[in-house]
Amino acid sequence: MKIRDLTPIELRRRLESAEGLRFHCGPVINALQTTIPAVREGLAIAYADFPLAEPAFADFHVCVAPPVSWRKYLRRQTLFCLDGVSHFEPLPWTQAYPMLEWGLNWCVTSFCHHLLILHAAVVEKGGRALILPGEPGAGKSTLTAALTLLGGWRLLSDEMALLVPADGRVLAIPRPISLKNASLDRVRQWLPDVVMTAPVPDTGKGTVGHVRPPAASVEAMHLSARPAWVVFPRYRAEAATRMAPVSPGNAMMRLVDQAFNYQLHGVDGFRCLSELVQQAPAFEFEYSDIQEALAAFEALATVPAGRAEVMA
Amino acid sequence: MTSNSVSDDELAARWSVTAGRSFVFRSLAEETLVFDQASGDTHLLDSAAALVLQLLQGVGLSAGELAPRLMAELSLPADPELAEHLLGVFHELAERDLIELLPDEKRSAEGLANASPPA
Repeated sequence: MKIRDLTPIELRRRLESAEGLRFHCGPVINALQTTIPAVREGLAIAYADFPLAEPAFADFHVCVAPPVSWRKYLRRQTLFCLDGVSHFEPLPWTQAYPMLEWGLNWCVTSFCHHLLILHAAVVEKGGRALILPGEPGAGKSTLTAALTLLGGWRLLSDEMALLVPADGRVLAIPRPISLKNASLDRVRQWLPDVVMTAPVPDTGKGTVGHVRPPAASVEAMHLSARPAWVVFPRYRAEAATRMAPVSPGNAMMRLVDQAFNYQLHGVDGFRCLSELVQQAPAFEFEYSDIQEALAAFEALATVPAGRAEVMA
Repeated sequence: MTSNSVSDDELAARWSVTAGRSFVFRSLAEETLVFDQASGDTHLLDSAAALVLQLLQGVGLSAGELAPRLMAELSLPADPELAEHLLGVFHELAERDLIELLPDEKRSAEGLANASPPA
């Protein structure tokens, strides 16, 4: 049973119950409680295809709710709590749904230390995973949206690459794709029918919205993939499409910079990432035209495993 | 005889891997990744610098002593400037806190640093 199968009344009942609404999210189970309509509505849109979980166990018990103070009524605010404890400064009431997304990201990156976690998007085609590290200005989420909604790639994650240190597999956590500012309009231009939560203005990241992940990606959330490429994207207006190789050593150092918990893994993390850069050729990718970008990645996907092509 | 820019004392000063350091190396064609198990830092070195680091594990060597070992290891032709070049590699590795001057040589180096420039 999926979240979309719940009636609005049942969805609200579960979200406001002591057990919360429990749903699978890749390798974790979330139990969410909220009384805030915007969170409920955003969830119904963005997580429609996510499977419900039995109430016996959840990894993260989270709550998005107004504070117990006058801030519940005047210049309203919202809190994100894990296990009943608020870990962040309150945000304006209007930012309740993005706060849920940011809070769920924080839960994984703060506690899932059995995995080596990179700040990166991951997509997959033909059983091979493409890692897109999220360096500043990369525009990874916009590219991820294009690859998964237009290019036929499976979404493993928009925000974090979850690596199993023992064997280097990437686990899938195909949560909604976070877009901001100009990317929102850009994606709507490509896909006028894109399913997205209501954009929320004036956040710390500007205006943000979250795109419902493809149902097929959510359906396949239990399937891991092996990294086959690492591509450092960079959107630059009017830039020519260009894919240039990055040495394994430089790729390693850049991935270390994007790792949330590399230090915690010690030599195992070193071995995992150094094995990754030896197995998966790395590239820098600059683009401005999304159709050309999709074609470039399609060409990459057609290269047999073990060989690297340089796209001029 | 050495060039005016490098003294015999500098070439004779012995260096070794910094005390308490142990490394895991991963060779990648022209580059080598080095994981410092004490600090958790990861370094990217060219293969020559990585070889120097490996040769300085557990032993103190000067640039003058290391040069012939490297030439033998890498089957290099004789190069009178290799020892001077190795000093640069030593300084690069020292900046990363991977190697250090051995104690006796530290005092000599301080003396060198405080010496008056030639008239």
